[in-house]
Amino acid sequence: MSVRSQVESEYAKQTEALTSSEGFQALESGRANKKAHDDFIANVCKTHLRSPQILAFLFSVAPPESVDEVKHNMLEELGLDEEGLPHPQLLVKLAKHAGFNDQGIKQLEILAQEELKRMTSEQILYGTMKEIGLSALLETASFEWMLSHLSNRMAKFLEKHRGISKEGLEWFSHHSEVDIRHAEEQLDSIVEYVKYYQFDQSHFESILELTFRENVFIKRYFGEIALARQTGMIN
Amino acid sequence: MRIVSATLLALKIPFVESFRHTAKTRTFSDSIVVRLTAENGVTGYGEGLARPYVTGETVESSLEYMQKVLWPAIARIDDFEISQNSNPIQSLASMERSLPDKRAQGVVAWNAARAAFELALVDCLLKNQKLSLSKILPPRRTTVIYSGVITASATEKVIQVAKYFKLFGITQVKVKIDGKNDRKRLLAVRETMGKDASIRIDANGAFSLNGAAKILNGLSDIRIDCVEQPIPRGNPSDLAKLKSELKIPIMTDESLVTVEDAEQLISAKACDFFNLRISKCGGILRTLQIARLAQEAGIKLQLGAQVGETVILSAAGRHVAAYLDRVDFVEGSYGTMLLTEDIGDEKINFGHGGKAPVLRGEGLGVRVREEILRKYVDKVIECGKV
Repeated sequence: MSVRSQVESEYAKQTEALTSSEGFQALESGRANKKAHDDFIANVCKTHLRSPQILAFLFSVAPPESVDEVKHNMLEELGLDEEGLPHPQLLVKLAKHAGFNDQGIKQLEILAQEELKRMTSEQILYGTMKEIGLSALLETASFEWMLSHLSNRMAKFLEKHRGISKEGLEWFSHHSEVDIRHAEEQLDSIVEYVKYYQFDQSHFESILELTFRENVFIKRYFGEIALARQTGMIN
Repeated sequence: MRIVSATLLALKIPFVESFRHTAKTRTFSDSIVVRLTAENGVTGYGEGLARPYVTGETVESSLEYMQKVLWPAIARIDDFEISQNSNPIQSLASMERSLPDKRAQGVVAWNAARAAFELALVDCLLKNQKLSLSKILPPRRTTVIYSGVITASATEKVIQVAKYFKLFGITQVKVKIDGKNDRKRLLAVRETMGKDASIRIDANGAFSLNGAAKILNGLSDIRIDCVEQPIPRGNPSDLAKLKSELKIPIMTDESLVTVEDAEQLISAKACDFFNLRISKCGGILRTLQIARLAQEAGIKLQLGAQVGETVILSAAGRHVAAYLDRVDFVEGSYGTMLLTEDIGDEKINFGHGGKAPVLRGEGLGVRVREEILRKYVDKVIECGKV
């Protein structure tokens, strides 16, 4: 199996687990209450508010063949491309349309920043930057892949059951359009990264498995307890 | 300083994946956290893990012992203090003496409960004095090196985990064995981790005295550094007999719960290693007392951990591991490698090579995040005025 198909297969598996999770199904079916919707929106914001910083890290370790593409993604995320739509601002707009006040939005930004601080402060198990870079690239690309498949569905349930206007859902609509292209480009970037840094198959597979030991989508969008229920670790 | 309240929190923190050995398969940590609050508002956190097959404690009985025996004893003391003394055992002794010991049918010792209270007291008193535990237990090394642990799973899974540890630069692993396919699993670990890796095995008392030597000697060509608890806890002379027949050094674990156990094992010349665990041994002081006995008797040491320890016991383990004169193997500090989320403000997992720095912050050197603690609480008991 090629690197590309292994990664795509993992992404498909993770995405399938997300859509069949209790939390996602409750939101999509309209069974979820307002708080569940708002928690989901808050978690989406927390997960993606610091994406420009993550992309900046990926830019710093990108191989020459894909550096322009990663740079473009980063500038796009920052709103410094031709479209001029900073993605963190789209997330703030989503939160505002969901009724989060200034203090609530500030809190989301603080939590996202704290998470980034924790990530950069903790002891690192990998021995080299190229390994950390691969793990970060795999996870970042997984979200783009998943969003390219699911952001329309997410926008739909937030509009239908939570009453968020199309204007407020721009982050999702933007991702559904842009990430189909991004997802493809990111898969190319991963293949290029593995080749450039000369990962052997076993090394690459270990990092792929470790990155997705847990379902990153359920964990980040619905929290640790939801994930533990889904995996049968707790009832 | 007076302690005015205690909160006992029985947790249920899910694991990332299940952890299996012969005595139990676990999918979540059932740690008990004790929060003590002093009259001036300073709080301290301690932790214990009740294990029926180790100390005889269950979560329920341990909570009851804490509430009915340990808390009333603590609440009666007017002036707690930890003195800075050149002998750490003396520094901790007066405080630790306030924790009573009671006998109970089927309980070897209330050590998990004691450990939780002792650690909470140490954390609270040292925070109040703005001191780090590293001032009481001065570290003899700046970095502690941890081992990996591989559960008794299918060979494919064992190989996968061994690969991860190799990728993480871990050179010492303990493999859980259960009497089924052990040789195949261990050969796979040796092949994956390489000829220089240190491999220990842990039977959790899976074998009988009659059959153990033959089975375990059949593994000695794989170069096993030691076998932990080959037979169940019992008469130390059984272990001594097995030791005389084995080609692999013996480490005691479930057989070593109390200081009296240590004395008897030493007297019977029953083992080559002691596996100390802070929760199992009843706290830092008793762990150090056993370590001292071991070192005087020429017995080597492992500082182990209970499966599912949070940042609190991990921190206490880090201090003890850094302080001990000589420690051959250290386990624990697995944090979010095992727990889906840890309760500390910062993760204190070991990093590449199993290396982790000494902690220097006040008290145990970690800050517990109350909002995370609340997420995983299964049961809370508030203890106030007695």
